[in-house]
Amino acid sequence: MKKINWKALILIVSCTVFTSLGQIFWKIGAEKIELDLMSLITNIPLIFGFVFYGLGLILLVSALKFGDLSFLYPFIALSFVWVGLLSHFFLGEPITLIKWLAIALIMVGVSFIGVGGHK
Amino acid sequence: MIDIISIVLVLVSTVFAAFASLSLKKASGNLKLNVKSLFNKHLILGMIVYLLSTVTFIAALRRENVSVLYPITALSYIWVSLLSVKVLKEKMNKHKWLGILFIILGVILITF
Repeated sequence: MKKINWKALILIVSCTVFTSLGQIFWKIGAEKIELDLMSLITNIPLIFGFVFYGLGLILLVSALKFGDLSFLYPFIALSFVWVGLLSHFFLGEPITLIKWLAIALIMVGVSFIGVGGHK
Repeated sequence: MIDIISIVLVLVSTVFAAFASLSLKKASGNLKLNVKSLFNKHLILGMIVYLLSTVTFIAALRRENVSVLYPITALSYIWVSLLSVKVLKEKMNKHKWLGILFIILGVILITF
């Protein structure tokens, strides 16, 4: 039984949670966007989105210290699941079985690319 | 049916993201932890192009649901795979092709 790389795993899963939250905040902020500087820099959701995304990036770089991309890619794909759930529960976006199937296909695809890219 | 303009915007965003990612990869090859590294042209280019990718994606988010648009960003994995062959002299293999196929299927399906 292969040893599980817990540090990399925890870091990358945390990363996906943060980037997914970032996406939700961006969505909220995007809908409030007006093309003037003042409203842009006071667009709190948009700013929060960047903050969460930045934190996610830091966690990704940290995860890469402990694991390589071929291990991490499948878990990075978890962000598609989180966004699906968060967008439904916090933004009221519809989520259907077909969408879950699509997300599953994408997760499989990203995992294959991870395996193929770094043998 | 999903908004066409937002699809085009996300497509553009993923292409930018792929180029940015390759630029950053080139930058990370010979990056040391000093101030001079901040002026690494691959790093700067990568960050600018990544910002463009973000702006176009947020523009798309104004018009369409994030639960539809965000999965489409998986296309950037496809562009990176293909561009890596040209730019980084990497090789394609059946795992990458299979991955590309699954991502394409998923991206098509998410628009339903």
